[in-house]
Amino acid sequence: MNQPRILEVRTRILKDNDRIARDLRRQFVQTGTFVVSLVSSPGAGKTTLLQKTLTELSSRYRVAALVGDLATENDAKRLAESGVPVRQIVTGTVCHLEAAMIAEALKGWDLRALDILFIENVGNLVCPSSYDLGEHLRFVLLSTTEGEDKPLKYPTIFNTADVAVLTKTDLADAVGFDYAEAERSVQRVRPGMKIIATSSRNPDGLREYLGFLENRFQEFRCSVNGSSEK
Amino acid sequence: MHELSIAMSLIDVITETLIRENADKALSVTVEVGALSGVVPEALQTAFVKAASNTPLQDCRLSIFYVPVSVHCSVCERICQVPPDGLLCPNCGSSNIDIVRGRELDVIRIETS
Repeated sequence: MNQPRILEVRTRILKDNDRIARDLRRQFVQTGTFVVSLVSSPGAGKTTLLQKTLTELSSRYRVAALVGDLATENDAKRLAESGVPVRQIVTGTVCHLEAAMIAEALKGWDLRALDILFIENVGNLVCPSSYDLGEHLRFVLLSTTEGEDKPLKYPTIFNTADVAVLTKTDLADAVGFDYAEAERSVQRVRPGMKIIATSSRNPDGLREYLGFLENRFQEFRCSVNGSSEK
Repeated sequence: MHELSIAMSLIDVITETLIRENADKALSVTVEVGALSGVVPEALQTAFVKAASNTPLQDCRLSIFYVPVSVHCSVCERICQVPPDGLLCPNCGSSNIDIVRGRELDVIRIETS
């Protein structure tokens, strides 16, 4: 038996996930693929928003999606109606996506043929927050039907996201949604966070959101091209 | 409940360390869990016992230190402890803050024999 020893380790528990995520991000930069993930509670409207997004963007950009769910391929089928490449990740009992699942799902895909890749996480406001997926932009969705205080109840997921997307604004009046209250909740858990209001039902309801996405994509491409010229 | 996934990653870190350090056994492991890590300490404790049972780590004791959120205020330059749902400087009320602690999900030390 060895002598007892105290080893000062100081390492991230999820270091393996972080390493895979870092490798993915490096790969996405090399191929010029902008990667956007969506997290929210179940039923906040991720799939509907993504369906519209893919349809809208597919005429101008080469887009694709990965979609995570505990079971069924229903979401992949819905998203495939937009005519773009879609792959389902069935996680089984796992309540979130991990970087290794993304790496596995991307095998055999030519990322150079993609401008923007979307990743729809499993509907869950807790577990996905701990895992970096190598994405460049993380949207957290908050629907008007969920209540204004969701950010206060789930601060970590809002804190690890970059931008909040308010969905189902066409239902806001019907449910008495208080925009100012929701804004205050978001700012308490993520000071300075941008909030974009959307409605997937109204013809004009995604204009600001799509404009924001396209701007971010262009900035990404400029930074990638800039660094490759150096 | 992703604490089981976290517990399994923790077991991987301990196992790798034992091999690297040529140690036989882990007697205890100390981890830090931040208030903004997305992990519930009690759930991690339960998950670790479950994940370690019938493995060489089944007698390994897990100590979890919960790390509250601390923010640095760019206006008054103070570092203060705040609740995860109130990321404002409690001193001057500014939201111009950086999180300095509270995101930890780290293995700190492992006691081996």
